[in-house]
Amino acid sequence: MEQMVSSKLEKELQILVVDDSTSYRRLLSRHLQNWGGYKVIEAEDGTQALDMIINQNISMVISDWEMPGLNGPELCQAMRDAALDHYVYFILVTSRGSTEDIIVGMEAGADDFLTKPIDQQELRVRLRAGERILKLEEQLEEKNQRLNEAYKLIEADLKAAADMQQSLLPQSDIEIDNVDCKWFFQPSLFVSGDMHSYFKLDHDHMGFYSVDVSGHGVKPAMLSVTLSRFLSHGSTNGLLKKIDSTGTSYVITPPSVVVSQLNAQFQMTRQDSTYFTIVYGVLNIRTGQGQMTRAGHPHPIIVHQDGQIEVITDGGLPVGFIENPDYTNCQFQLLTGSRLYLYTDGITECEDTDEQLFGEERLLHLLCELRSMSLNHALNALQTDLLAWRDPKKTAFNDDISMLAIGFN
Amino acid sequence: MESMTIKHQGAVAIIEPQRKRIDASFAIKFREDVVALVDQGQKKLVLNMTNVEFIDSSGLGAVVSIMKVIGGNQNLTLCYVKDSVLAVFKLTRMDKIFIILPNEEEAVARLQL
Repeated sequence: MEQMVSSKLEKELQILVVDDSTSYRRLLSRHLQNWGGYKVIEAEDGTQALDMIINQNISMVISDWEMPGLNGPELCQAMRDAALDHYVYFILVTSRGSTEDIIVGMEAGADDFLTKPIDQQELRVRLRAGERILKLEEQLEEKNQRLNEAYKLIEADLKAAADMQQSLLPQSDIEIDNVDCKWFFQPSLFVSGDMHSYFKLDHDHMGFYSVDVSGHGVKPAMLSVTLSRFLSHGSTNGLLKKIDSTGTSYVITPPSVVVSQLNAQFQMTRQDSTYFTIVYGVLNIRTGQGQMTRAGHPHPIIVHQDGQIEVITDGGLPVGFIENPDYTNCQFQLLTGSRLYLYTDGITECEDTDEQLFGEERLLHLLCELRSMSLNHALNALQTDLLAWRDPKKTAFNDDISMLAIGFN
Repeated sequence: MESMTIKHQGAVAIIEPQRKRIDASFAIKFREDVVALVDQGQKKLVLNMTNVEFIDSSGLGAVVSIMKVIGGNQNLTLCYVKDSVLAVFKLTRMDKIFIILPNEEEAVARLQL
């Protein structure tokens, strides 16, 4: 109860007066007490003072310069070195006041100086200046606290969003005959503008896609989530497959039509220049034959078991740029042991310390080299290589990176 | 350093971004500044890309957005496009849409046709 009451009164500042002369201390204390608003504590030497400063809640110190043991500047330095959790305003009292003294004092961390004999009025106004500084520090501390709390909330929100986005990625228990799919997905900042997935469309076919929404952060992540819903094989929107005229089976929509429809739906607007690149394709899991449509996305790569590489360069404009672009279906053939890689430009545009890009050539070379490793190992090796490549000064990749690999058996 | 210089030649405004990178940190401001010009009545634009070494998805989006706002690729030309930037245009097929000329004189002349 007592504590609550005193905090409602005007807060009394605790001032520590340090001087080896008792009479001098008493003189100062009397002035301070007469003015009111200050609670005065006394110390007769630097060591005692330091101990009090560290263990009690002292806001201001008025300290003599010349003292046995720790002198004024040394006391100040020791106090600053102690890195207390609140600011202490330190006034050095000197009998000399030369420029050298002031420099020594300032370097030791003193805030202000008084020369003996101390003029009362001067002391008073200098104390008031000190109080203003302390008030500022208090306000700063409060703002910092609120900022920290806000940041924690935002971070928690982002993490929740990231978890939700991760849950949209293909779950590890999906099994598709003849096909082995592996992937990695690394957002640059919790959430990603990338999205990829694969799924069965019917008994003989699977669908797959890799999407990269422009920019990074929450905004593109939200669109990437929307797109994953659109492209979900389970949805009934009829985008990926439509029930046929007999009503008994599904007709799979050609990739070029899927991408055209996405383009019609997601045009860039004046207010929002968000757009995305995509590769969407359909693979016959029995024959290894497939078709895909690339819209502005990095070139998909096929690595055959014998080391032959195919780069899919066919393609149209990113989705959302213009109203009626041409999208075509590019045919491809996977053989036993072939691997199809879809990825986003975070990989090819990964920069080293000299701002050199990782690049498509390096990626091709690496994927070819790794082709006899298991798909999992190959993807891990690629990620390791990328980490080794990128500027180690950067703690994270500065773009979202993701890759989806489909191995045909 | 201002982010872009603007000079006029007749009805054509020549904009030269001063940054090396048109990326997420610059794309929004770049787009806003240029769109403001178009809103003020500028109908023909040349983008002099002589300083630009890198453009990312946000940067590309900004340029495309500018093109849409000014009414299509016939009102916008680009010049001094570096290989690294051209590579991004090629990957996204925008090299077929953007009108890219080797130098400023030709870029301006093309708009005056």
